[in-house]
Amino acid sequence: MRSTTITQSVTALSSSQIVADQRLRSRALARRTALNRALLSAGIVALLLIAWQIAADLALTRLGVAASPLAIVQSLAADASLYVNAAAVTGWVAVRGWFFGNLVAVVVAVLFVQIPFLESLFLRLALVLFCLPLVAVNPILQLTFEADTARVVLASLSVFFTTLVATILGLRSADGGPLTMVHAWGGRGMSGLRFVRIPSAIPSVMTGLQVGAAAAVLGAIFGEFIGATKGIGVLLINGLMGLQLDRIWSIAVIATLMAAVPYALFAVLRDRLAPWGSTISSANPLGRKTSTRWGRFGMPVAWALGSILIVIVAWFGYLAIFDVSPFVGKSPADVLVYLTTVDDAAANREAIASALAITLLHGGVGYIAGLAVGVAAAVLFVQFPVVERIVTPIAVAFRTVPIIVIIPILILSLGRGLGAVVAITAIVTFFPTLANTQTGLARVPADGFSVMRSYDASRWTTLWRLQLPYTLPAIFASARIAVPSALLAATLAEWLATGDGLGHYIVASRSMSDYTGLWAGAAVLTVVSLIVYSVVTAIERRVLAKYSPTHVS
Amino acid sequence: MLRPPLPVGGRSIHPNRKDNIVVTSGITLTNLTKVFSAGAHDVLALDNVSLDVPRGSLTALLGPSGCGKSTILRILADLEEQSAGTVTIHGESPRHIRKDHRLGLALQDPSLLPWRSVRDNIRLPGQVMKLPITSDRIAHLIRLVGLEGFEKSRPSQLSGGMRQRVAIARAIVANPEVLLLDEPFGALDEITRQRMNEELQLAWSESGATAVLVTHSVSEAAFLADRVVVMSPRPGRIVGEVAIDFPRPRNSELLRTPEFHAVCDRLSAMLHGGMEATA
Repeated sequence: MRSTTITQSVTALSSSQIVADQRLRSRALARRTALNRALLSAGIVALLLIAWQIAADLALTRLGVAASPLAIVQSLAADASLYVNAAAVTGWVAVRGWFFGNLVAVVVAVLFVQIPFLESLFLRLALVLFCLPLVAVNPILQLTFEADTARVVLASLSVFFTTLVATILGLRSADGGPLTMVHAWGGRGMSGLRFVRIPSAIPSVMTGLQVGAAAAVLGAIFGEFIGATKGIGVLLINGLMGLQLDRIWSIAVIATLMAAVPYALFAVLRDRLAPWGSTISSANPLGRKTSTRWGRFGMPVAWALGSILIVIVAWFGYLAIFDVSPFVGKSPADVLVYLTTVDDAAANREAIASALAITLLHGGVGYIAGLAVGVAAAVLFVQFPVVERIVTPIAVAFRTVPIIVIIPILILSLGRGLGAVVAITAIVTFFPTLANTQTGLARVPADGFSVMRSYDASRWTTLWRLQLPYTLPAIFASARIAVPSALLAATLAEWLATGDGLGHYIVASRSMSDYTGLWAGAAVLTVVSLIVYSVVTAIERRVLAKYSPTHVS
Repeated sequence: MLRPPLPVGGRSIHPNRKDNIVVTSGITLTNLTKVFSAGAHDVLALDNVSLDVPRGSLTALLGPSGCGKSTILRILADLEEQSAGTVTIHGESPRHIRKDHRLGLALQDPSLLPWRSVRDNIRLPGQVMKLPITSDRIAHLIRLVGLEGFEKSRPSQLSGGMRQRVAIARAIVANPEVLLLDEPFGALDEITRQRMNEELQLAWSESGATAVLVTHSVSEAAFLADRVVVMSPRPGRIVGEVAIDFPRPRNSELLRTPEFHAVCDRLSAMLHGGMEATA
C-alpha cells in the first residue's frame, strides 16, 4: 500500500534517476524489514529461554513442573549415546513408515483421480482409515504382526491420509483449463496425468511429505509403547514413570528435531521443485455432495452407518487375510457376544460405557476449548498485526512438535487429572484451527473492506458481518479434521497417565490378556470417532451451503 | 464474401491431414439442440440451431450471455455432446477431429501451465499429440504474437494480455484445421483487446484454419469475422447472419470508418431485436 503511493508520487516527478534511487531504497528497506523481523523473532525466543531458565531455577524444577533449558542441554550431553541410539531405532521405524505410507498414498491418489470409479468405491475406506484411532490400532497390529513390522505399519498409517488428500487435491488443482486443453488436443488420460496433473501435484505432495514427518515420528514412538526395549518411546515411558523432568524434556527436543528437520528440508525442496508454488491442506472437503432435502438430513446418518459397515467388513477381512489366531483375533461376532450374551455382559457394557463417557469428556472439553481459543486468537491477530508477527513463527514451529512428546510434559507439570488431558486435546485442536482461521481471514476480498468502510462500519461490525462469515468454511474445515486428532490426544493421555477412559480400557485389557475386551474397546472407539466425524461433517456442510455454496456444488 | 481456403504451402503439413482428399465442406450444424438438466427443471440451451460455416472462414457467434454460443463451441470441441441434431466438421465428427489432433482451442482463461515457460507452454500441444514441432516454428510463433524476449518467462511473470498471446500461439502451433476461440480476450481491457485482435487476425490467416469465434462484443465480431451469426438467449437461437466483407488485413483505422459503424449498427439492431422478441 505504502510502496505504491511512493511509486506514484515518484512517477509524477518522472525522473529515472529518482526512480532508480527509490527502487534501491525500497529494496534496502524490504531487506531491513525482513532482517528486523528475524531479529525480533530470535530476540523473543532468546528472552523466552532466559525467562524459562530463571523460572525453572526459582521454582518450576523444584515443583516438578519443567526442566530448565540448561538442564536439558546437560542431559542431552551427558546421555548423548543413549539418546542417539534411541533416536536411531525410532528414526529407522519412522523413515520406513513415512516412506511406505506416502508411497501408497501417492499411488492410491493417482488411481483415484485417473479412475473415478475407484474413488467412489474406496474413498470412504480411506476416510475410515483417517478416523481410525491409532490407540485402537496399535495393540491390534502388535497382536497381528511381529513387533517391528507392526511399528512400521502404525507409522505409515499415521502418514497415509494427509498425503492422500493432499495429492488428490494437488492432482486436481489444474483440472479446469489445462486439462480441457489436453482433451481438445486429443490427448489421452495418460497425457493429462503426465503433462498436467503430476506436475501440478508436486507442491501438495511435498506438503504431505513435510507434514507426514511429524506424524511418522509420532507413530514410531507410539509403536514402542507396546513391548519395545529400545527407542525414544521406551525412554519416554521410563522417564514418565521415574518422573525424570530433564529426560522427558530432552526427548521432546529430540523428537521435535526428528520431525522438524525433514519438515524444513521438504519445504526447501518444494520451493526448488515448484517455484510457482501453491499449498493445499487436507482441510478442503472431498467426495461427492448431495443437495436434496433427504440428502441433507439423511446423509450424515447414512455416512456413519456406511462407514461402520465398512469397518465391520474390513475387520472380518483383516482377521482372514492376516490369518490372526482366534486366541488374540476376535471378530465382530465375538465382541457382540462379549457385550450381550456372556455372563459378565452387563458389567462389560457398563465398563466400556463409563470409559467412553470419560473419553468424550476428556476429548470434548479440550476440543471445544481448542476451537474457541484458536478462532479467538486468529481474530485477535487480525486486529493486532503486531501480535501476529511475533506469535505466528512460534506457532508454526510448534506445529512440528509430535503431540506424543507434549503429553508427558503436560502430565508432569499439570498432574494426572482432567487439566492435563484437556490441555493436550486443546493444544492439538488449537494449532490447526489457528492456522486455518488465519488463512480464511486472509482470503476476505479487499473490496469487501472498502464497501464496509464506505458505510463507516466499525471494526467489530466489519469482523462480524464480513470477515467471520467468509472464514466460517475454514473454521469448520479445521473443526472436522481436528476430530480424530483430538480423540487421539485424549486416548493417548489416558493410555499414558490418567488411568481411566477408553485409552486406559484398551491398554488394561491388553495387559490382562482380555483380548475380546481389547477388540471391543477398539471397536467402540472407532465407531465413536466415525460418528463424531460425520456429525461435524454434517454441520460443516450446512454452513458451507449457506456461506460458501461453490464448495458444495 | 466467402474466402476460398488458403493454400497450405510453405508450412509443415500435418501428417494426419487428408490434404490429398478435396473436402470442400466446412462446419455444418443441423437442428442442433442441447438440454442441460439442472436438478428438477431442464434448461434448453440450444433450440434447433442450423448453421453452415464455410471452410477456411472466420465466423463469429455473437450474442448475450446464455444464448448458447459457448455451448456450440464446446460441442464443436467435443467437450459436450448435443442432445439432438448433427454436427460435422470438414466431413467428420467433432470427436474424430479432436482425436485426430486437428483442433486448436483458446478459451477466456489462458489455461497455461504455471510451471512451464512461454516456449514450453507453446511446445505442449506437440508433446501431447506426439508431433514433432521444430524450435523454428515455436520461435516464429513467439515473434508473430510479439513475445520475443519472454521465451523463458513463466506465466506468473506475464501480464494478462501476454498470457493470452501465449494461448493464441499455442492454439495454432500444431497447424489445426479447426480453430475454436471462446472470448479469448474477454478479460482484457478494450485497448489491449483491439491490439490482440489484430494479432489474432494475422495468426489465423497464417493458419488457414476454419475458425469459430464466440464473443459478446459487436465491434470485435465485426472487426474479425467474415460472417457474424447473431444469437438470442433462452432458448438459444440464431436470429440472423451478416456477411462482413472488409478487405484483409484489417487494422484499427477500419474502426473509425462509417462503413464499419453501419455494420455495427446493423448487428446491434439484430441483437436487440432478438432480445426483445424473447423478452
